[in-house]
Amino acid sequence: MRIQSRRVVLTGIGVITPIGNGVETVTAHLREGRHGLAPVDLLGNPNIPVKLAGTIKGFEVGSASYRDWSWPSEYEIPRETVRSLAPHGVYALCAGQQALQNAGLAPSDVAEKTDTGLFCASAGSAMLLHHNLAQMHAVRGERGNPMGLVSSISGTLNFNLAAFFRITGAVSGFVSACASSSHALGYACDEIRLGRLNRVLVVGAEDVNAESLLPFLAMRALSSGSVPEQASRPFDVARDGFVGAGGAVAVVLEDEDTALARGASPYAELAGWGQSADGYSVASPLPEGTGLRLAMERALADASESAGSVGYVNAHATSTPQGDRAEAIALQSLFGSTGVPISSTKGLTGHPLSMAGVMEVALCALSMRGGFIPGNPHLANADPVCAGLNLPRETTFSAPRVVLSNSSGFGGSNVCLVLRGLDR
Amino acid sequence: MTDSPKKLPARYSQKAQEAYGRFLGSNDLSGVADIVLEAVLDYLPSTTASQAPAPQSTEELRDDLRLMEDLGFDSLAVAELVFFLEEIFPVTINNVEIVSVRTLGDLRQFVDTKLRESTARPEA
Repeated sequence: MRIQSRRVVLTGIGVITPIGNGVETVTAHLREGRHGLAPVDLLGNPNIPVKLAGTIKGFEVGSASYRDWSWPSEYEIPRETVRSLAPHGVYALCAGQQALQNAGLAPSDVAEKTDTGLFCASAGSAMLLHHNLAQMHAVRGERGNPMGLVSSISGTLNFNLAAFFRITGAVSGFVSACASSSHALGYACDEIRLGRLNRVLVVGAEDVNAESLLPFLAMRALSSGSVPEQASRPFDVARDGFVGAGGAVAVVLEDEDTALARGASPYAELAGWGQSADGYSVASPLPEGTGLRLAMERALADASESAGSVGYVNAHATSTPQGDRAEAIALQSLFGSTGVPISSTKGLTGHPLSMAGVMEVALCALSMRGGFIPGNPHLANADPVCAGLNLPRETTFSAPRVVLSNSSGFGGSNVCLVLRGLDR
Repeated sequence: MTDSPKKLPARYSQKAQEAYGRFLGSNDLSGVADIVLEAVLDYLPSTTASQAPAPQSTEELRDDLRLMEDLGFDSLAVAELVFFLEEIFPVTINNVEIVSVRTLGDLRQFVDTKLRESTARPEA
């Protein structure tokens, strides 16, 4: 059943990503196909076969003590705020401030406004959690950092950003691994369409450190490549895992009438979304990608669009053997020989986990405004399983009207979001 | 006690570092007040409760200033400060004791009394 209701538009974007901090830099990197992967030295151990990550530049948040941290001077983070943040919370406060400014909103436009909500997604900070619990054990539970809990557990983003931006409409977090921030966008879209909220700030963020990355090494999910162009190469026959990443992306979603009434210039309409579940494995996708296909079909139906009207697909493809394969088959079965351009921008950014969905929706919106379609610059030899898919290596200069963004997470959680250009 | 090395963060002044060295070396309490005041400054919120400009140096931290009403500490900032003092000094400060500390003079006196008790014990 389609929700017959108000239109939702995307009016602001804030980006602290491996390919740049700020929409201009990120748009340029995306258009030029320049990656943001950099060497990492994890735990000071050269034996660890993880050599690269999608790192954040201009921030120093590696220490477990916030008093050692620094961030670009254009962002204001008072001491009483930073004390309860995780490293990715610092990125997120900066991205949130950027997004509001980018939307033409002042802090007072969202503070204590009951029509404004905040939906967040992150995995929490394993690094801070580990540090705090180790300290608790060292003193046999006799004392602990009073900010230990709210700075580290899953939900730390919602707690902190809601207090900082003084959000009064709604605040919630989403935990579906690499589909988390896509879920946040989808449910934010529904809340606005249902008339419960007029505006939602949606934020995804992740730490980038040994504690956020190495658990994926234990699952054999990470690339061991040390050459960025070869390490993160979604859909390539020689792909060997993803390159982990982090950062923060915030977007402002608004009811269209509310946005236009205040003179906003929306990037695009968030025209619909769909989700599904594989019901299959804790970590692997259904081999034929049927779950993801269902999410795409539902998203298109929700947006009253057909597969033939889609002008670009931003794939979830993270550069893992299994995941890319399942998605390629799902895309073939839905799009057949339509030749729709498909790319995975994770070749450039790496895979920022919970933050991937909102980051990729932001990248799609920026490329729509910039009049281009991102390519797959790291793709050398497409996996034969991708036969028939149009995977352009280079940036294409055209402005698609309908764009899909896919995400899949642990446990077979699939989400597809539909962006549509605005006739103006 | 934690297994972390006992030292003040590098941003603390030379005077505080030396006072802390004397405390660790010979239980010399003469410079403890300086360390406590620097810790207050370190945990001071950027905005004061009275909207007055926040103190910039320990010289401005008069004994009669109240942590919450004058300096803008909230209960979590007080808990953070106490946690830090517990980390650097061999003291444990419970919730009832925290409530009794209202001014900077109370705090200085309280830490001094606690340390005299704990350093008087042979195992401390």
